[in-house]
Amino acid sequence: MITLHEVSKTYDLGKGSAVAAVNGVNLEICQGEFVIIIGRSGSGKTTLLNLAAGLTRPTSGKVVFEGVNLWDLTDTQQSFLRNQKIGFVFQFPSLLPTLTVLENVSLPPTFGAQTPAGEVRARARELLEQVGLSDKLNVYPRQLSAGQQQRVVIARSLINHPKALLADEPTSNLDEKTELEIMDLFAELHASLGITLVMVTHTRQLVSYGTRSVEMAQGKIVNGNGVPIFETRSERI
Amino acid sequence: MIKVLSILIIILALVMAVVPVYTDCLSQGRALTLENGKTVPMKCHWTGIAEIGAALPVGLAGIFMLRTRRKETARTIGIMGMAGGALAILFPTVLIGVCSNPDMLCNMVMRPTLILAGTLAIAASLVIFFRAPSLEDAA
Amino acid sequence: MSLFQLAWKNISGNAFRSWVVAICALIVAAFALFITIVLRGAETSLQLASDRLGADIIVVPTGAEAKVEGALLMGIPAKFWMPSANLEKLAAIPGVENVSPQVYLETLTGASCCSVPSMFMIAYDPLTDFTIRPWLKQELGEGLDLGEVVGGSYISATEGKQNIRIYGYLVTLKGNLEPTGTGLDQSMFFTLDTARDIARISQTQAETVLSIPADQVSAALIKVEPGGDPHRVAIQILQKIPDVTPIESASLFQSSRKQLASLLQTILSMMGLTWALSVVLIGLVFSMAANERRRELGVIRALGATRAYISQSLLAEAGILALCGGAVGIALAVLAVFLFRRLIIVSFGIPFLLPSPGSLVLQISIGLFLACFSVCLAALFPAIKISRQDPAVAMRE
Repeated sequence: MITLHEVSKTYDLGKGSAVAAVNGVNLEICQGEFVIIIGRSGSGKTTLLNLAAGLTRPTSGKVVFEGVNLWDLTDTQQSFLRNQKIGFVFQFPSLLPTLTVLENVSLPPTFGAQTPAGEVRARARELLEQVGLSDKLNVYPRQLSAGQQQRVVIARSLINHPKALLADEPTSNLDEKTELEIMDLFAELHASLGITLVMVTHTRQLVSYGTRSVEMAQGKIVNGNGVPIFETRSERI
Repeated sequence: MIKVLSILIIILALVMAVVPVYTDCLSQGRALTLENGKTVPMKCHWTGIAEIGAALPVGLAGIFMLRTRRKETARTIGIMGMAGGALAILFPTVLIGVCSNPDMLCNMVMRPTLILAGTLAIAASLVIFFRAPSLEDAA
Repeated sequence: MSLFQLAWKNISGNAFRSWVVAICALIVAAFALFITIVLRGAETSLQLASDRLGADIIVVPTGAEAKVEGALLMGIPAKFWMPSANLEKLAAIPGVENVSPQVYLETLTGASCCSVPSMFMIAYDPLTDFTIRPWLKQELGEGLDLGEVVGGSYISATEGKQNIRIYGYLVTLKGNLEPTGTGLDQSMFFTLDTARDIARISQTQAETVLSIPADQVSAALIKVEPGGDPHRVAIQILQKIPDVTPIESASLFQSSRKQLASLLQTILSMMGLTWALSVVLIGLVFSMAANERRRELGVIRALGATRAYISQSLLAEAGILALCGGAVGIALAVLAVFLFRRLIIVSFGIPFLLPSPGSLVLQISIGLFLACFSVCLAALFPAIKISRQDPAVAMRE
């Protein structure tokens, strides 16, 4: 579904120096997988995720999503693709502070296909119920806990029935209990909706939630390159 | 926004009370001399006195508005501000008036200033009246 | 949620920034409209006064040119004389169709008679007049009898419903001329016979005697023959009649026009500076806003918004703030001009007339457009810059 072929991303630091955040990575993510990308801080995992989503242009290499080279598309086409096919969960609080919970979840369809507002709101309510926040429709993000905000972000990421959900350290700002709740929610969504999930984390304990893990260090993939792990969470329990 | 408008209303009340003191004909040394030789102030002076009566409720409206947190109180205060603003306009125009000579300071400066201050006070009070529900939302 | 709904939410959520931008738009719109109304009002007023005179040429004694302009424009009473024998000489000049004398007088300063401090009085000859009589015929259906007057728009009766006492003489105010925004609004018009009657009565009834020299007039209004050239006639007047100056109506109020032009220059410079400063300040505010919301905008891009959407949403915010601030500024400017018009005339020393509704609507549109243009121009660069940023870079800490 998502293929990165010899992808590199170099950042120019000025005065003739540059840093290669991602260096010649090859990665293939298949439909329905739950891939955990793990690595220390600065290993390039977030950059790899951003490259896979088309959020940053690679310095070299190709990023292909469902057979389409992302960087052959115009900005409008790429934005439409992201809107319709990819959902995002970020590490930082990414809800718009001036919109209510319901308005935040209903936001993505604004940028894409013209879905009637009534339909969008109904779907948003349904998703918020699914993540356990049906009583918080008209509150503002500042009135929610960090965990609740992440649930809203997850609901937002699913509003357009995406094919893939990309999560960049979604639990790093949460306490352990809430972290497990969010991971359970991801596992439930993966099992029930069958969407492709790619999650970046530095917490090794979360690797067991995925169908496969990929480890990164210094901009390169160091193991798990196309080799699925056999130890799933249910087997561990 | 309500706080900003409340401060504006207080300033307008001060303008209503103070401007006539310096812009009526008496402040320019002009008064009416009666047949018996006595001098009395012209009507612009009395308009200025009356304006203090209009400025007071407007000023109080501004002060109370700064402190209130309740929608109904805010609406009542808004109505008070509008009434005070209306009086501020009516005194120099219909109720008492100013000198008819267009070149006199009371006609050139005092009257238009009071009409402007009254109009702005009414406008600000109206906005407060309609924005009052946001007070309870914020609470 | 539409682009404008989202823009409105962002505006409501950032009160301080929104107020700053709106106030800048308010100042630009208010200043622009105020200046436009005042200057256009002055020009219109000058033109009306010139048209009101109705004459192609006004002949005055040499040296009295500035005085006649001051009298007609600002209502500053003036007295000057030339021999009435000049009237025959003027009538004999080829190209002259009609010559009508006028005598200029003034009331006592501060006289209790009047609603104006000192009134400029114009006595005309009903037999030859071609400026006031047409108006009288149209408005009153008749001429003025002895003791009857018409006043400019500021003149009102001070004794009873219709009477004014001048130099101890009671005149009847038959009507008021339309406002011109000039000194003609505080002038009074009556026949030469009434003037002489007032002078006669003043000798016994008034505090100060009104004297009208015999065989003297103040000015002669000249109507040129249809198709004739006023300039040629003016040259012949200069050549044939000593000690007089012919002022063509096109050149009338020349010093005031020059003063207006100079005022316009000064004001335009001030306005240009204010506008430039406002644009810079708004640009800074939007740059700060775009930078502060960099991460938020990166998220919106990640959710599927195009670059164009990002810049359009920032410009929509700018447009809404410009419209709101501009509308308030315009309302304040219109109110201020309307209420303080007399102060404007006295402070600037220029004539002024309020614009017609149609003209006002046009000027308001220009003011609003300028406010919107300024704010959107200021917001354009930050909007484009932030929209071009990589979403991943924008979301980075």
